[in-house]
Amino acid sequence: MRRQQPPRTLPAEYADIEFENNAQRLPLVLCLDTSSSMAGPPIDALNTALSEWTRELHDDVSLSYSVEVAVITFGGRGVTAWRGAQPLEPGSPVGPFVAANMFEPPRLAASGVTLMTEALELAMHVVAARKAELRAQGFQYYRPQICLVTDGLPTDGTGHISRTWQRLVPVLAEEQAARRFRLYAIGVGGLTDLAEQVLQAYAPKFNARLQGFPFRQLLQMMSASANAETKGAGDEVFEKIFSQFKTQRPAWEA
Amino acid sequence: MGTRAHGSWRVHGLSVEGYRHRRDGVACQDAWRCATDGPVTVLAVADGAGSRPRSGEGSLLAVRLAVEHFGRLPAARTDGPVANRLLRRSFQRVVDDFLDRTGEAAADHATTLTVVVLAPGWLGHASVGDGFVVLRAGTEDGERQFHLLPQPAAVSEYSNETVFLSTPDAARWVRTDCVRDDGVDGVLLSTDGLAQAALSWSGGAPQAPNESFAAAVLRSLDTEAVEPGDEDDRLAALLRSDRLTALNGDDKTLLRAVRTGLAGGGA
Repeated sequence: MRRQQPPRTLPAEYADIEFENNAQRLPLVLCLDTSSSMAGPPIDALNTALSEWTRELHDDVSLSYSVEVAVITFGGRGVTAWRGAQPLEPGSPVGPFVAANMFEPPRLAASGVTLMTEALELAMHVVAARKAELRAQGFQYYRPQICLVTDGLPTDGTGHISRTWQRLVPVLAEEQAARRFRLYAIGVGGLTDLAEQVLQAYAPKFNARLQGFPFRQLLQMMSASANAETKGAGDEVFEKIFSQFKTQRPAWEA
Repeated sequence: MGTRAHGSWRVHGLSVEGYRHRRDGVACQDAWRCATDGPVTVLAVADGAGSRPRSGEGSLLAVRLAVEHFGRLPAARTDGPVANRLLRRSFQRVVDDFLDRTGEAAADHATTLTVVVLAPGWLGHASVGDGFVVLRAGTEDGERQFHLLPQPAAVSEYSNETVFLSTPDAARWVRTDCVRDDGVDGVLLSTDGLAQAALSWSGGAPQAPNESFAAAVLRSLDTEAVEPGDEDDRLAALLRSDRLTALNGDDKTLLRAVRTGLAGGGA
């Protein structure tokens, strides 16, 4: 099929049209594990993948104006929300979402504990707050997406395995049933069975346990899902995208 | 396709595949059609649901059935309640016919449908889904005036969810209007791919036409094209432009009609 490039300038007779900045928005939260077990090649691979994905996102004329990206990391001594490359102070008056065409990825470092539960709670909070903001500003929006990526089990602030994750299971079930967002829960780096159970409990339909650290494919899958969302795809399309993502690299599968 | 004369109206329509469909090599799932039978001209646009496998066929079928059934409406000027009843009846016939022809695969053909009937002295509008209609009528302080016809109510928090012809009880969701204003001299119909560009939004809903958009696309039809086919190229360039793609990556359809033989009332 012939691929036509969209014209960059408008024909002269339409040059005086004034457009409002009212593209429909698709909030996307990357909720990323940056605990000490991610140190070394895994965090390097994540940083490289984030940079490449950002470039692809900028090049996508459609997604770059509809997707809004927020990054939340859990590692170090707690949970951090990032507004693009900048970490936000707790209680910051600005939110973490940045239009994809303006997004620059943070440079992530790995250390510390795995406050996964708290990170997901923050992700849900920023999504709800952003939807309220978009509504108040009169913008239309698509169903937000949250992508949780981890290589381990949730811990408490001292690094001990924590059972707090269980408190989130009914909350997430209700939120997803109410279609408040789509949650993807992805385990990387050879997850344990118990850690996989956490992801299955969080995201019964969209969880995966991958060998290695295929962050690039993972982020591409999020773009494909965002694309499907903006096309108004049915649930079966998302399931297909996810199952292709899980199975197209059999060598990496557990 | 080029511009066509339909009675006292000059009509031009175009559907182009959206950025995502263009990139993925998927055909356009929007459709439009215009037909004139005696004094009645019917304009129809339809947006096949991106998620359904045969929605491109669905949108083509919908506009074909629309011109067939709405084209049988009486031309005579009628009062509002009667016109609305007639419009609803025609819409129901489209739905029945659509469901008959698509059978068990109706949901696979899911499509919206927006119809305008141009008859002497009145204009009818029937719509299910998120298509929209803008009219040009009258002047105020020398400026042409543009009016967005009321749309069916939104069905969901999310902007990509709407009602289709195949939705059970679709007729319950249809919105009809009758406009009796001889000053209407321009009409544009579109699918939701142009909702951001062609409409002005506040509070999460379109409130009014983006006048600069409606003015430009109708103005360019007021004067006859020098080279037949030119208007296709120029409108396609507008609809495929990065500026519009940034607002909405979906397929886009614009069906526009201007009354001929009138002074045009200004600019």
